[in-house]
Amino acid sequence: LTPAPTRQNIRPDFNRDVETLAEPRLLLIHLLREELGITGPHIGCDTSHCGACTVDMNGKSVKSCTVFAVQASGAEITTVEGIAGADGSLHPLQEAFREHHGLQCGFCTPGMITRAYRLLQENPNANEAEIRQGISGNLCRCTGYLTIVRAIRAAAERMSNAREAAE
Amino acid sequence: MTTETESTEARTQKLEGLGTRRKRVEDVRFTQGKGNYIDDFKLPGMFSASAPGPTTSRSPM
Repeated sequence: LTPAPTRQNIRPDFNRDVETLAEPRLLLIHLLREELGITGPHIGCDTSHCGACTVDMNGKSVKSCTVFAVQASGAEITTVEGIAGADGSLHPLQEAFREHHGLQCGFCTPGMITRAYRLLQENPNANEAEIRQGISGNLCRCTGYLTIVRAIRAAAERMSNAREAAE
Repeated sequence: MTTETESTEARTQKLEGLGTRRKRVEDVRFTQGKGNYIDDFKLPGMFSASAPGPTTSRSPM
């Protein structure tokens, strides 16, 4: 038996304040799913290809299977669970994915939506090519992407209309 | 979720065939990360296993 690695205190903000211990080798996705029971982000491939584990960390999309839990110490993290409104209303992206059939089995959807959420903050009026480029780190085996791109484009329009109406 | 039951006539009228856009009930939870996939469950005494496949084609197992 080898001695257990030192545990470190980490304080990620997973839609709420969390203080927990994590071994240095623990991956963020395992902290989320196994330790904290946050099962929105999925493990699709374990090799950073598929993007099903995508979460938002300090304003950037990261694949949480490629981030150590300790790297998230003090970080602000939003998972797919944190994207809907506090009152339970769906985010325009979630509405649009439903409306345009941007999902079938739904396994890649948490990653897709979390990524699209960040993409539309980086580029609120992303065109089709920019959306395709922007979600290229997320794989979907059901839809062929057409409906996903359509859904993100529709959400972008709806969000931009809502912004204009608010001004 | 609606509890109203539509009449058969009303439902038939709304069926438009292939390619019809229809909102699915399950998409509400799928888009919020509440899919309840098998790996999302944790039961007492549960453990995971995986079977490694051959690393090259036609290699002996």
